[in-house]
Amino acid sequence: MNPNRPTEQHLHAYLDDQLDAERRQWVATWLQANPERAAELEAWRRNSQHLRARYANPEQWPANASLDPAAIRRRQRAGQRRWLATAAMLVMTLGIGLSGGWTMRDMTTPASPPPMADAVQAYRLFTDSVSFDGNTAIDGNSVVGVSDTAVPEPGANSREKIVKLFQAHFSDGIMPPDLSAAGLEMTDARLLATDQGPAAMVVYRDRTGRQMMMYIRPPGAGHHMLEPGKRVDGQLMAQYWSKGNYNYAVVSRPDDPNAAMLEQMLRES
Amino acid sequence: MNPPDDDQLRELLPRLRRFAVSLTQNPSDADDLVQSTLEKAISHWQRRRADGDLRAWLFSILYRQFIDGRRRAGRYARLMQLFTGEPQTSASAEDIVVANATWEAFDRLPPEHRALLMLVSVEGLSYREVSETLDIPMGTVMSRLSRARRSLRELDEGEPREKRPAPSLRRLK
Repeated sequence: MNPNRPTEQHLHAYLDDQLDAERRQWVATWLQANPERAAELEAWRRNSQHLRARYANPEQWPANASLDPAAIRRRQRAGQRRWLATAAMLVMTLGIGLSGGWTMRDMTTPASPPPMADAVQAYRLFTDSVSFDGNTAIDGNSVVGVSDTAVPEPGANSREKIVKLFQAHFSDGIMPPDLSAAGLEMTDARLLATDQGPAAMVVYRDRTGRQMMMYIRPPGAGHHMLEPGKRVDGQLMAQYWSKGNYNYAVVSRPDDPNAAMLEQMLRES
Repeated sequence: MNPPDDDQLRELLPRLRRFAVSLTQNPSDADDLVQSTLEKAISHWQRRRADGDLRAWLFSILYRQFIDGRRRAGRYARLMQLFTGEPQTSASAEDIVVANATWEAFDRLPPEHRALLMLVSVEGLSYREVSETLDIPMGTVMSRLSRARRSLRELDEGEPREKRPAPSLRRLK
């Protein structure tokens, strides 16, 4: 059912030939009775005709070979090949740069010292079981100074002095345990200056004269915490680990059973 | 779906160039637009609806490329204005255009209206196809068509001829 008069949409659809036959006839009849709208429609029709005339026969425009689909396809393939070549070159350059850089780094960076090398050096320096013979030089620059003031004399009150030393410098660290019940006496304690900060060593000696050492120091500027481990360095064995804010080491002869006990006690403290 | 048949694309090339010229109003820019449209059509061929009309699909890609390009150009012009303090005008138009009142009026319409009139009056697309090609609802197609035709007629007939900026023969560049 058609409304009384065509809407604007009907008029455009009539002009663009997008009405069915019945509606087309209905609009045509209405336009005959409404010459003003018919004139408006005629003006729109003229405009459309002018546009069609302006853009008539585009197939006669000058050809542009670069628009041919086959040419476009060729360019796309060439572009992909160029892209792949560039990507491959970049990957190769990056690979050469990385491997070269890594090689250079290996060549220019001095080998880093093994973990807790300073503890082993301190043991060699300050215990008398391994004599300093001039060949075991301090090559890691790890131990750079020794405190003169905090060297407790072995004796009855040495334990008290050591506790004070630890409380002053390693308040949240693990105290050296009292192993006198196992026949081990603290015979020496020293405060050391290292690259990583103040360190302390405590030497225990058993009744047979075997010595072992507990060593504590902060991890240093990089806060490099250690994976627990052990290594043999010459005639000595170092066991090391990190706990809380400090790195620890126990240095002893490799066959000293007391060292395992000390290490276990410290790690479980 | 099979890769595009070059002959099908070749056959539609003149219509694409015509639509592009009506939007860019510059034959060189128009061919650039057609080229980027074909590149996109070839590389996105798999996304085309199998039952869709190839011509309408290509027109929709071309129109989208044109709109995106205008947005980029607008951003660039605003950026340049920040640095130079002067608005940048885009280089325009055909070497010589033999002007006709309707043609001049058409060139002064906004591109959205030009696109619509081209697709309806010149290409003869149905309103439904135009709606899909320009990605606008049917209601917008109808209201925009009405505005476009009224504007074209007003520009064509409503304005005194002597006020028009260009003579009947004008060199735009």
